[in-house]
Amino acid sequence: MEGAVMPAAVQPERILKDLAKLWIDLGKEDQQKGSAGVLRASSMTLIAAVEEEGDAQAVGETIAEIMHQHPSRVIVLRVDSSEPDGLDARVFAQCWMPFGRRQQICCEEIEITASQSRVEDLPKLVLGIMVPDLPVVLWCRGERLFRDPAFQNLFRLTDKIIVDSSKFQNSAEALPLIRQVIADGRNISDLSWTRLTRLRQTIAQIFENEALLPRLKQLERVIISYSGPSAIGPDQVPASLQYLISWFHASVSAQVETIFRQTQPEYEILGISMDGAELRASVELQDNAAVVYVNGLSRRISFPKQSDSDLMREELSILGPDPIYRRCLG
Amino acid sequence: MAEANPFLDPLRFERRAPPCAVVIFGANGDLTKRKLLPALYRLAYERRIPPTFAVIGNSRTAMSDDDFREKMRESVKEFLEDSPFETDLWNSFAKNLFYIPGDLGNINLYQQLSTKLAELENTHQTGGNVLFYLSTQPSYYGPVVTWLGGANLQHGNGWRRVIIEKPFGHDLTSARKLNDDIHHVFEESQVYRIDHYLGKETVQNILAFRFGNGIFEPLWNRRYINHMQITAAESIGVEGRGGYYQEAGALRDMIQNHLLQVLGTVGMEPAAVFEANAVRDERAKFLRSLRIMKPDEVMRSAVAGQYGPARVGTEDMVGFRQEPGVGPGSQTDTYAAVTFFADNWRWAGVPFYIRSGKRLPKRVTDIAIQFNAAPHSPFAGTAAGSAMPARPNLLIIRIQPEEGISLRFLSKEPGSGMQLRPVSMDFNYGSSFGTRSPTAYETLLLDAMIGDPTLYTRQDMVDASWTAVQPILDVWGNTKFDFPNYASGTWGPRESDEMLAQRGHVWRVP
Repeated sequence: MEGAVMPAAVQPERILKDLAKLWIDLGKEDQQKGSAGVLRASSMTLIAAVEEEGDAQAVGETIAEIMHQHPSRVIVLRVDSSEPDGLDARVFAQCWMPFGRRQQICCEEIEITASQSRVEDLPKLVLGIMVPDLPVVLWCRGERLFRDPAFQNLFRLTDKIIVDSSKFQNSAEALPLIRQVIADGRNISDLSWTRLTRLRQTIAQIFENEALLPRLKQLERVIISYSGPSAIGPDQVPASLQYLISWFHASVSAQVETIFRQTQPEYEILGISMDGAELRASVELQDNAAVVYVNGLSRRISFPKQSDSDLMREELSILGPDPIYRRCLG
Repeated sequence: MAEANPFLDPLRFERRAPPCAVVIFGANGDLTKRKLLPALYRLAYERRIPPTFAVIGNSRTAMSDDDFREKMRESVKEFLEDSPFETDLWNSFAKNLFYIPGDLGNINLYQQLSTKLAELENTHQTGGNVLFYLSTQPSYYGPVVTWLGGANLQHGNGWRRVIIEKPFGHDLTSARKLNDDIHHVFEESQVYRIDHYLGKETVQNILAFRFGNGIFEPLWNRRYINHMQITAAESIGVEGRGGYYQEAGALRDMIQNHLLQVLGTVGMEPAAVFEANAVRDERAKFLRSLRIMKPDEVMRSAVAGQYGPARVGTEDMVGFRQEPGVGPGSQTDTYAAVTFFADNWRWAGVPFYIRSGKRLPKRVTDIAIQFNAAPHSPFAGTAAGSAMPARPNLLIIRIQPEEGISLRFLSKEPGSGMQLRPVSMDFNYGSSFGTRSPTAYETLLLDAMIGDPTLYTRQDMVDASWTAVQPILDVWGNTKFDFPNYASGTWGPRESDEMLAQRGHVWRVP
């Protein structure tokens, strides 16, 4: 449910005043309805940076889903390159009634629209409206903004930056940029890596069998099959494949190969097979399921498609650096 | 040292069960249908169970593997909470369900079981790991363990563990005898005594709350805490279990196990590390420090009650003695309240009031920690002080139904005058973390498969809790109570209020 909407002047003090007024109004409205009150919840400041109007709407839906697990003050920064000069802000409340409860929970949302020329004003504005003493996470949805030096000034305000290299024009190019952010002392993660968690865990689980674990030493070959617009070349390996290859290299000494299986608009991993002495294992990804074969024994497991909110929920649970990711990033 | 799995990512991966077989004795019973199989299916749904996994059910009822699978499918569909039932996933999961009918006392059953486990070790690559779950009548716990030993099933190529359901014994003597019987076959490290209260998320959260924060622990002692009240109230009666309940009673059924374990969690010292034995050592140490009542103290420090008939709302409730399976002169306590003291440096002189009962006004379990009143109130004697006399701060840990933590303190009422009123600062567990919490059985089954006994009770903890309640059982066993002494839908007998009044305290209304 969305709460009251009102215009706000574009100045930290004024935005905070408008937020305070919003809470008072929500409380009054709730009292009139005779319900059990509004609970304000906040565990972090989440800044979502978007470029397109359409993306701003999509991110709004994702944020509404994330809020149930990670209630936050959300600041949506929309950088509108078509605007000649302008900076605008408004405040909302995202409210929901948890199932079976009588108390509404609300999180606050501030939407700031800036023209490209005002991007350099954003860090100061954001600095004044972050929730004090709680972590700050920046979810950078657009490639252009991520590369923009003026926008990069925001990075130093944050505890974590989240990008999605699969949304980059050429996802292979994202990795050097991510490495640079880490070299600058920032904490960053990539949703292309997050998408691999379930697959990696499924593979790890195969070797939780103590009888199979010693056979890993004799693992000879790992084959990753994928689909995409075309077969990959040496200089254009999409980030997700690069991560997976690095992860195998970091974990075992087997030869790692890739096989292009079918053409489709976006790169997608379709399965993994592992061969070695007394070991034949594979994971085949299907619609909403995965079939795991281990030495002739098969098992179907639930593998529902993951939305951005699923991935963000995982990332927002890990606010510190992720050593395995950094190792695989190289 | 065992090799480490190079693929593990502890930061991101959820805990998962290793390959194993779970053998459930009493597989046709209510617990299996309502709790165990739904929990295992849910673990499979969350990909926490490996493909190399199997369940063998046993009961006296003649059934084929397919009959058992069908029966379990119906149960899972009916009792699965907050999760979708997916037919494809079930079909895959059900391929790993097997059934061996047989009488627990028949030695052939254990030979058949041994053969089946060996077969599954080969076909399902369970690694020889076996978890035995005793969900039978309590009188069978000892004998089944002995028969397992007779078939040499306590050893194998992998690990062997046994989960024992409550009640663990009927009194101190029988609990010790059961421990002895079990230890003739299994090492203590293989024994998992389940207390599903310890698997509840909010009970585990007590440890996070106390030891993960710096501000509470300095206040967590006799200097600042006046007393604690632990309440476990049920609005329902015995619901057709009169026969069983008549032999148990509230003191045995709730206080001796669940609530003393909760008390142990609230009262224990911090463990140096969050490891099973370190945590259990501290909990056990606290339970051993509980003062053992002398017979003449029991009537002042413990109250037994039994509900009588009453009209609640528009419904006429029968009394306990009118319940099916209950004798007309039954002396069973459907309500028990006890004042405990822990004789240690931290808690000397602090009363811990524990009460549990059936047919109380509502279903609620919580822990109320009442702090000492402010040593001096500048508002005393003023209009503010007379309008609202000083109220001590209260910290409430809500275990069910609405899990969370509340802190009550006084605040100035808005306005020009100085009027005080109590306000409550709430942390709502479910709302703050909107994800689904695992059920206690999901947590505990997974822990047992992983080999983490932190949330299971150990022999010395069981011994200490029976030792604390045994004097009460002894005195009550020789007392003829004038039951019923409280009406359904009330907060228990008058004597319970009087027990607290001895120290100037009153039960709070949850």
